[in-house]
Amino acid sequence: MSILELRNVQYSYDQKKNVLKNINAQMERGKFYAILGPSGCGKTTLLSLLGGLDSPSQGTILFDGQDIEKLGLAKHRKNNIAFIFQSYNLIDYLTPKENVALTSKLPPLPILQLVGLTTEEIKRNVLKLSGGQQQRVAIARALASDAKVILADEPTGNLDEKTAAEITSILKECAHQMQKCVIVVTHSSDLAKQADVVLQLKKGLLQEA
Amino acid sequence: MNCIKRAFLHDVRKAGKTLLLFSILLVIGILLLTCFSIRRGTQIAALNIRQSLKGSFSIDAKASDGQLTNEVLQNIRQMPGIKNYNGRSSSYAEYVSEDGAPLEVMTEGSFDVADGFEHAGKVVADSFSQQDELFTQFGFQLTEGRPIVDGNEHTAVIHQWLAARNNLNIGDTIQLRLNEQMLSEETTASGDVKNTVSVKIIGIFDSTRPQPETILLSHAFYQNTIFIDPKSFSELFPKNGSLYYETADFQVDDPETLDALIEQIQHTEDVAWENCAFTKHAADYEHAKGSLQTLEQLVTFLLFIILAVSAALLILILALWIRSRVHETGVYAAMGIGKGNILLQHLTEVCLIAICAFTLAAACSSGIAKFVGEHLLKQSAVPEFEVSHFTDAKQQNQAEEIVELTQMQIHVSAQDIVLVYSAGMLLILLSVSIAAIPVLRLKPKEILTKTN
Repeated sequence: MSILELRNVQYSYDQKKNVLKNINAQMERGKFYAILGPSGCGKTTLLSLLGGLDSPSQGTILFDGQDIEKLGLAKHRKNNIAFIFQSYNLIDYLTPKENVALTSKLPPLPILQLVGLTTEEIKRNVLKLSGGQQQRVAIARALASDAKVILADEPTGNLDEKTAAEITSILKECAHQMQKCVIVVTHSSDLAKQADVVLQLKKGLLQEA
Repeated sequence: MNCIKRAFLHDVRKAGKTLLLFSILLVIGILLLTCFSIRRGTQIAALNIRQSLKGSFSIDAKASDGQLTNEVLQNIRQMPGIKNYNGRSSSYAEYVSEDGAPLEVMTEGSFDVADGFEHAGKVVADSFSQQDELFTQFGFQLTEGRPIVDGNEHTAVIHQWLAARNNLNIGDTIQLRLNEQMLSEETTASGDVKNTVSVKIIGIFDSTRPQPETILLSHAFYQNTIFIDPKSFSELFPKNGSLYYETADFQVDDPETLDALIEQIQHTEDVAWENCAFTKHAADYEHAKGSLQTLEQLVTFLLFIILAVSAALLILILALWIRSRVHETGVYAAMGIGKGNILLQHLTEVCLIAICAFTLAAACSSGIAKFVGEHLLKQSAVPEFEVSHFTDAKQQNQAEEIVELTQMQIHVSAQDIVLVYSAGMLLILLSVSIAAIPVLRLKPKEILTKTN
């Protein structure tokens, strides 16, 4: 059964040109999705709609069969969705442990260790961590929220090849071992190769590649 | 993690910002506390001065035909703001001993002794003889016995000379009588005039100052003056069968309330007030009023300036800071943390700093407030006031004392601290809300788009 479903979703910025056109798709738990597409095609917008950061111009998005608008977008973001951003978006005055504890429903320490951070790194100021380490904290924060869906926007965009591979591997594990629905917007073909389902967004339409 | 913990961690980790905001709030706290305590100090000082200036008013009811009764007087006395009173009437009567022999009065030095006034003198009835102007302004002093007080009946206080001349002592009884000449002059007297009243001597007074030389008739001499109670006077000169007064003086707590009190009295229906004349005695207060108001206005003006500048400064700084934290707001919003919760965090951050700043301000404001208060006092140039007692300022020979507003009791009280906390928190609530509006109005996606 799908955890997320898009029904006839359309989106336009100025009511004139539709960035997203009549999108229908279903996403399931335990799968790792990659959404590919050229810059400006609406990938991040689609991710925002799925995460309840914005509302579609037309159509509905269902989470576990329920319209997220009716659920309440803030509630949807809080209970069902976890975001991972390209620029990590960690709170700079909190330690990794405190960042994870922000919305944590699970103990933060084991999760931070699970994503590969050492005890010393866990106590350090987040700004003193490397990009890869910061992204691991962001992933740990997403996992700690116990959300069923993880939405990642270019999670490896700022990372070197080796670290990007490690992060991709962690995300894949999140989907397969933790039964999360992981949806990643990316330009990286390497990351896309790791995905269970690759979706192509082109001219406002979403198609399976 | 709740917003209080997030706020606490923010304040601790962002030490530079916290220290800056702490300094600003400390200065605001000290300024507010200083102003509040000086304002209260000036209000208390002004009230003390006003009370020292002894404002009063008189009601002249001679034309009211006995309408200013004891009941009316008591009703006025009960009004809030009336400090004390004295009802007064005066006339002339012949003095006779208990066994009917006329008393000898002072005639030496008089231009003339009027017919029928060979044994007569001025009879003054007072609710409280000590408050009579002759005692308060003209140097009369009780030398023996006690004064007349409200409720006394058939009592008298006589001059030391009269007592000695007629061999009278405290406890003796004398009679006051209206003879034929007096009755013919007593136009208001009705047919059933009781023209003799017996009074018991309860006190003896002396006049310590010489009588003005304009007094020519013997019956007006100080030595021939007898103070009696209003009951005896009303029996000797009856009107409408009740205890009445010709005039009444009321001393008020605060001269500022004089007009309001007079207006309030004139709205009562006990007396046909159009037949009565009201006179205010507040020349000292009128003289001082301007200076007192200047000082109060100066402090109030300062208070508003400080509040306005503080609000503007806080709004500006917090707006800049909150705008610089738009990224953080977006991240919280993406995590499903509500806008109210984010606003509450900002508020808590500032409030935590404010609590520390205001506490320190409370500890060090007392000395500053005192210093500024003294400086303001000098600036306002409140002069010394000559204060006359409970009477017409036009009178000569009046007793005077000097009241100076050279010191104010300025200290930071618990009330001031509570006021500063309340005003400060309101200021913070207002500033944070205004500063946060532009950011919180954005959708989470817009916030994240701005930062990514």
